Amino acid sequence: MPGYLNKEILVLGCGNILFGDDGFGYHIINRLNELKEQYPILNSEKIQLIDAGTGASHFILSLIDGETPLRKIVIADIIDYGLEPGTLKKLYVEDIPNLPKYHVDAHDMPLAGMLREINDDYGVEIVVIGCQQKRVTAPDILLELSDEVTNSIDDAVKMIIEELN
Amino acid sequence: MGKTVEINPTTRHEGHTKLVLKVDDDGIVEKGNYLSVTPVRGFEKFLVGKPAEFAPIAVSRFCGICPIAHATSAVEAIEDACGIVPPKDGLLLRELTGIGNKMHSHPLHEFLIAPDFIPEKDRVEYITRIQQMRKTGQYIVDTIGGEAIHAPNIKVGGMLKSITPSAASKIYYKCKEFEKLAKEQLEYLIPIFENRTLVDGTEIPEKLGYHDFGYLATDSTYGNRENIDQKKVHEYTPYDVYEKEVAVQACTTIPRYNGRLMEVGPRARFAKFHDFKEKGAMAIHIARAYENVVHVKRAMEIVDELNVDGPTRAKDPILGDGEKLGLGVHEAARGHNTHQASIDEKGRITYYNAIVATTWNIPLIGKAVEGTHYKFAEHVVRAYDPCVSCATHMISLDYDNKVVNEKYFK
Repeated sequence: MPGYLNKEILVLGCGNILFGDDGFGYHIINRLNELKEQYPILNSEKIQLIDAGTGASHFILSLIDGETPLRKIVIADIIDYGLEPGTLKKLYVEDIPNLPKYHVDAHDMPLAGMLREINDDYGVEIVVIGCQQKRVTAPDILLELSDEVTNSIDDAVKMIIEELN
Repeated sequence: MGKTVEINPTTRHEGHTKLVLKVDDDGIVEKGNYLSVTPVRGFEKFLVGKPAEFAPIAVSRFCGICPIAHATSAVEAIEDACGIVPPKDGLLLRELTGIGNKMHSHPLHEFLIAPDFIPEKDRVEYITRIQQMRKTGQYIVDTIGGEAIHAPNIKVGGMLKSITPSAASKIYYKCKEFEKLAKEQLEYLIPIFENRTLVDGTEIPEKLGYHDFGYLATDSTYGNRENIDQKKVHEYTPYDVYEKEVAVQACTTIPRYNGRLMEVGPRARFAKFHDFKEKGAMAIHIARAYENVVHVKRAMEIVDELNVDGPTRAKDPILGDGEKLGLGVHEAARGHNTHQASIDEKGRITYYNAIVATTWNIPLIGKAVEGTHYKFAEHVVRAYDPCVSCATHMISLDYDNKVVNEKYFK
């Protein structure tokens, strides 16, 4: 199986760098990679950092099964809870919306249902570090995060590192 | 009298599309239109002015399904524009990464069609096999590409680094397992497609999906810009091709080669390189199932041929003249995928264009549903495994540089 499925903890940065604040997850993974010297835990053999973009459901979550030694997934992504832009919120599996099964399109499979199933079926702990977005520009391209979301990156990184310890 | 039937959305493929069909009183499709309704994006425009090295990173985000295919086409186009020739081992590794992507993608498509063709009693075994195959495909991408999804090792000039001898032997061993599974899968699927019977017992019309258009493929497993004359490729707007009320809903260009619609993908590759003559929707499924075996055989050949100590990346500067239009072609899972780029003396992109695999197939799928009952149309769509998110690109000029009615782009 792919190397990342042999880890105990996955950190997935989700979202698309091309659509404004949707790039939050990508920037988080980049920052975590930069901080590897400062935080030795990030170099642990048991942890994998992945820029999952919009392919997490497709390339990662749908390949997890009983053989996977995974015990925890930490997801960095934007949320839209109507909070002040840049506000960070930690969500657990019970906070994830219980969406009905969705079979229309393999491309737009929402993560929520898959995360619940992975938790239910294989006992994998799910933690989402969500950041309230200010602007997601899709379909228009914007390579920059808003200032509010940028300013939350350091705190989000600390929350992720706490989850790894 | 006849009527218009709209199937919206079409399901179990990648992206948002619909079928707009004119059917006669017996339900037979007289005129078929297959439309992408994914919102238009402007990658070709926003890449202009960016450093060339950014292109593979950006185009990997065209959609979440084929990041490897797009990154590969992008670096190939930039290399061509800048006159860079990657070293042999770099190209072998890059080809192997692309094959890994296809070894994941084809079985995924076989999963998507399971509700159509696979009896309930066989599904667990069938899907277990698919999952094992997908894991191997992803293992290859992860190991050689450097990361599972947006492979950072795919660089202009070749690949960032080689793999260790132990990784090479693991890949070989996993390919052996994949080959066994792919053959089992093939033996299981071929009778189903040859019998043309859906899981509920409905017989599929013999000529479902037949068409007389051409096939376009440049290589059996990788891509070769020598095998296409890009001057013969023209992109038309929906307004040139569809009736206005249909064109206004369409979000892709219509490319033609020598004035002709062309099919791309597994069957096109098989027609070009394996003397495969079968026609129709079922033949695409058959070619795809065979291709799993072709891919894994080539993967093993590459591992044999690869010198893991060889150089993987050319050291030439990534600079062009701003004029030369580089061409990158890659045989993605869904077919012939073209990116074109020009790079200036400072290494910045001055022009970018992508004609992705499904862009070719979209207008052809509409035509291929004609002549049979509309209830079978979705099976034609699904046979092509369309990946529409990448295909949604649009130009506002037609082939004569005439501005197309601008209000439709606002």
